[in-house]
Amino acid sequence: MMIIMLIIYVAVILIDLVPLIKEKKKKETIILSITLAAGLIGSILFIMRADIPKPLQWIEEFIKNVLKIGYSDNP
Amino acid sequence: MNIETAKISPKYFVFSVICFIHSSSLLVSFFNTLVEQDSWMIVVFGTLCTIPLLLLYSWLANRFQGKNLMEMTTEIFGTAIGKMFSALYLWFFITLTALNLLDLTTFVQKSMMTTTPSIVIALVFLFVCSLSVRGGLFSITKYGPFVAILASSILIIATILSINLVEPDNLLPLFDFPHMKYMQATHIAASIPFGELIAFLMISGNVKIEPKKFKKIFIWGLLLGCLNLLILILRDTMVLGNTAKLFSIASFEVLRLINISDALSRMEVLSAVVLIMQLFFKVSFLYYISALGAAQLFNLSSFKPLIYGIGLVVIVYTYGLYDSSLKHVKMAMSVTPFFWMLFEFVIPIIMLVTALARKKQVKLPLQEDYNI
Repeated sequence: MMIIMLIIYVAVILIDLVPLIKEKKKKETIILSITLAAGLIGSILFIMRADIPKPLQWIEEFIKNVLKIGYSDNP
Repeated sequence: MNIETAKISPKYFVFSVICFIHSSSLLVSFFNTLVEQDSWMIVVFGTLCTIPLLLLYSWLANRFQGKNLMEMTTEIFGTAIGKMFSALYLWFFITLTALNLLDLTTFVQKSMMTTTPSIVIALVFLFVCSLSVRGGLFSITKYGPFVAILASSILIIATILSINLVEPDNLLPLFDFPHMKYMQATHIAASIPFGELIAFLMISGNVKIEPKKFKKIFIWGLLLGCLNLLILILRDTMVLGNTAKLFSIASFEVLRLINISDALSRMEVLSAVVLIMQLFFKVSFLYYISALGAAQLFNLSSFKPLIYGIGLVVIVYTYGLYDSSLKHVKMAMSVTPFFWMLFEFVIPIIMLVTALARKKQVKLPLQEDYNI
């Protein structure tokens, strides 16, 4: 699984990132690098079966438990 | 600056809205457990509640002609606050892409490819979507008419073939549940599948139509899409009765029951194919506007270099949405409708009030090639 993931990331770097670097598109290169880094960290966490951050669930639990907004589970 | 210069005809826009709504048939399970045989009413109530929202979105599209949602926020609030709202919408669109990808992988894995790991299904599906997204707006929306007409035709044919299974009494009794449940179900329907139409404000500036007539095609798209959904829910309820709530995709089970002859059996495969095509359209569209939104947020000259990067983030995010599918359904029925209101109602209202207060608007000269 790790090998497949690395092949995918290398392919994306070769297809998208390398041309951007060659064309000296600095802003595009930075944004794509950050996006790929985020994806890579998440992928490693997923493969290692570690907990992936769940922002949507955290926000919704905050709305429900702290702000007390939401329908009851058993209306 | 809108980096997507392609213009689409109003016809493609309407069919895209129909596809977007019709592909939400998977989400019916969020409210049919609440009101069972009265689910069809929720589609009607939800549609009625969504029309004012579409009028609001159309007002914004008309006020800021040729601009998309992200450009509107910058026009109205200025660069700093506008970018903050744009970032919120970008997160919202990426989340919607991930949620729909999750629905697709769950459906395919549980109903067809039970031994295939869901990550493989997600990767392959999103890769195909990325090919469509690379083609830009026209490449995505050109499938709209084909998918919408095919899905509607199969829906009508399957409804006719299931006529001997239909029990109209299954729709009774009417209004048998507490009022609160109808309110909750309507809120879910209006915010989760229908209110997500705000995503179409990302392409409102790319429709070749007189801006004042934009609301007409938007509402027509909603009505036709909801009509499809209404027929589907009525048929499923009349065939399956109260057992419809037990299935995540009731129409899949209805088509499984159709057995006219040896040649006309196992028709559920049609339901599966249509659903996959619709979700392909929906995920591609949401994926496209996520890539476009990211490029606009960071003032890039093109969204294409970001496509695969965002795709990889979406795949990881799909597995970081909820702890379990049970949690997903529970949240969708209780909190998500309120949270989604922020993006579908609260921010657009703030935009309207601010645009009026600051007298902000962008008018384009009337062009001759507008058509309806």
